Amino acid sequence: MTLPRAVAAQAGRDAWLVVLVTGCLMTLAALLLHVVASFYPDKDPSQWAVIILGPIIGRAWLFLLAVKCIFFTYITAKLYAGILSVRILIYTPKYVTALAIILLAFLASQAFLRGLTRYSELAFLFKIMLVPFLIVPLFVGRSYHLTPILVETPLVSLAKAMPPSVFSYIGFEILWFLYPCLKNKSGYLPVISLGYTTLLYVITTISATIFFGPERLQSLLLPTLSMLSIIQLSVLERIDSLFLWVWVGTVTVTAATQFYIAARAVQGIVPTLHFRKICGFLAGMLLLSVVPVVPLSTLYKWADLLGIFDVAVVIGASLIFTAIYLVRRTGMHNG
Amino acid sequence: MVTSVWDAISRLLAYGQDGKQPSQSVDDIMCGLSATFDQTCDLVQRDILLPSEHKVTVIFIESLVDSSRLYQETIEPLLAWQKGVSSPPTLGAKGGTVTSVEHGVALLLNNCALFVLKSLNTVLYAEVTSSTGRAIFPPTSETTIAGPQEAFVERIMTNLTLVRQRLKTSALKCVNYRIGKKTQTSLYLLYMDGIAPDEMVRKMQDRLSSLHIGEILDVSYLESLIGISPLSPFPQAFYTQRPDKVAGNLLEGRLAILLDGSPQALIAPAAFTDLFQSPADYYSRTTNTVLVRILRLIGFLLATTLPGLYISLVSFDFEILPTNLAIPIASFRAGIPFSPVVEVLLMTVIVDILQEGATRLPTKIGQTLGVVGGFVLGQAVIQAKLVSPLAVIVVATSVIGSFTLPNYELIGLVRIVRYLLIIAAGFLSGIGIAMIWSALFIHMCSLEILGVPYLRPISPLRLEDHSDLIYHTPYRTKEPGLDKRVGG
Repeated sequence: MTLPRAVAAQAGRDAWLVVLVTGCLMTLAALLLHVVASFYPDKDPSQWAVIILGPIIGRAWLFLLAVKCIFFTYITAKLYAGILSVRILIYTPKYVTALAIILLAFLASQAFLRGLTRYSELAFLFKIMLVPFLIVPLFVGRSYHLTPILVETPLVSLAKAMPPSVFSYIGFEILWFLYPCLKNKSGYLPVISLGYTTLLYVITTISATIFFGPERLQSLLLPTLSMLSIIQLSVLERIDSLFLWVWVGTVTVTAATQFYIAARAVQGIVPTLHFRKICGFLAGMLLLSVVPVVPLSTLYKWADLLGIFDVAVVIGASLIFTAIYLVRRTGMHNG
Repeated sequence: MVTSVWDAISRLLAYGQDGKQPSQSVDDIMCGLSATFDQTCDLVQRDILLPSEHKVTVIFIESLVDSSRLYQETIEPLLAWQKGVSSPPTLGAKGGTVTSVEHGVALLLNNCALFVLKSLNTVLYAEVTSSTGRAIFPPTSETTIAGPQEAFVERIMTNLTLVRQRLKTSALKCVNYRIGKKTQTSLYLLYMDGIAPDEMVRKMQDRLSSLHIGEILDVSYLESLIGISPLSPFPQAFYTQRPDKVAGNLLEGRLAILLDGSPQALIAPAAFTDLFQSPADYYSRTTNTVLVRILRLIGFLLATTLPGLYISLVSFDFEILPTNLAIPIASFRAGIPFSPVVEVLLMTVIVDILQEGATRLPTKIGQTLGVVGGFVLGQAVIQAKLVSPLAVIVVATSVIGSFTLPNYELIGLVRIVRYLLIIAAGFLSGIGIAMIWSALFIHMCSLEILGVPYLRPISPLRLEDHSDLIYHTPYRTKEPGLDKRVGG
């Protein structure tokens, strides 16, 4: 919902290109991690760390991951609640929606890895249905031609625009698409899902950039919603509200996967702790923390920071893990 | 073990002991049986003196055994042979040797007659099932215009016959269990060898073997006993009166359970999408089936979500509606003292009470109740301005939508979800609806029945299993009887 504004701030009309490149990078990372996942089919992604990096570095890495994931869950819940409070639930306290999201994340974590991956898959299938809502604005009374690739925006600006777009790819969520594929012995799903998500984001970014222009975009808090609010059908006048309803599924998946990884990471640090107790503790902590009011602009800044973290972590981890995997495989062959 | 009690008796009389001795003496067995069946008015004990001077005591429970068959198949030929009228017959009732008091008690309670040959220190038994039972009628709850018109009855053997008539293959396996300490009810687990996943069959067999229950009177008792989450509102196994449906599901790799005394079979594991399928789908043209299944899905969505959606649109998100629709809705609600949540809840509760009442009453009174409730009460609440006409339309459409569903268990689910969504919409508008649906989907994703995901083939996505989801593949393009959906 905020992607076009955040990316266009740095990349201007080339924002869609940044989104496309980020999507490709994330897909590549997903593929690499899929290779690693197939080496540890019975392990959580959070359990790889200790196996691959050793007990000390592995635990340090898990601690970092746990903090990041908890923070990510918090931001997701708060951001969504904040967006709702300015569009639909004007009189409802923001923390009510945030609490509901946290509770859903907690519930989803209790479904464990298999349940969570199935839910991610389901949310993705629902996301497919959103495409018509996003494509329609492209054709509502306007026609345009695609802006030429690499107009005048410097490469540095394009790179700077990458972190906010990574946040939209939900970082480590890609990992959770891997497990059903492992069972099916095929790697098509991460590619399809991330490819589709990339397409969705590219369409959204192109639409918003063309619709409002890069300058006007900066004054809009939620450009995607503003764009959707323009569409009028004979039975529906405000599609943006409807869109926010449906978006709950995606928000829940994001919060739930991050919450689950956080709990698993904590368990990876202290294996004697019971998973359900960890989830209960973390959920309690989050429920308390979402009550105080935080301005939306601050939340966006924090989200950008998380985007930078994910760029480094996801792509870096995928490269490191794949390298170690290849070394081990070569060792096994030689042995 | 002998195959014919007659054979056993005749052999005993002709050649003496056959080498099979009971673990308890005949006197002990007789005393034990007398003590166990004290004050049992339908326990019959008759002494027959054979021409060879041997005394045979026949013991059976009259209400469980077919007396005339007992006489014709065992006693009459025995006497005839002993008198030298006929040569020893080779056929007779199925039977064997009784080894202990407990064994004898279990046999008597399971349609067997005992033959005590005190002089030879042997107790034999013969299975002589009473044929009392109702005839096979068309199903009452799963009616179809086309297709077979036979429904299960209370006798388990008849039900097994009905299934076997449709699956004349040695791959159909049937495992017998005795369930219930007090009732000792016979249970058959049916599956198709080579189609049902071995792991699933093993899990079910383990669960049935380890069942500890005092009594079981209907197959529905089993749902919570075989590892299916009892607190979940989602039906995870389904019941059917139709042998053709059982046969079809067995061919798709599912398991079926028949229980003595229960006129329906339990089929497991059920997927959420299975609950939208009706036997009629398979006897109709593919195009019709597709349309009907889409209508059922729409019916389900209307039944669950429409009241909540109405509340959300009227209370919170008025701007979603176009102005020319929003103004009439607002005028309908003018003068209504209650909030949309209250009026919808009020109407839904009334309709559910009427529906429940009509189910319990005899058909004709039930119809009257429907008319009184539907027309008179609906009209009255509108005239009294307690509820807006639109709320009545919404609730009525929602209830009618639930009638499209082929599975009664699903209707129960619809009611629960409808109330949840009404309350959620009252608090958080459409966001509340989406959150409740998210929670329900999370729950469904977490469900696994006998190792099979509840939301298959949607999640995990199995495109190859979509041939019977909405679009029903015509038979000419299908492998006959090998639609292995469950095991995939």
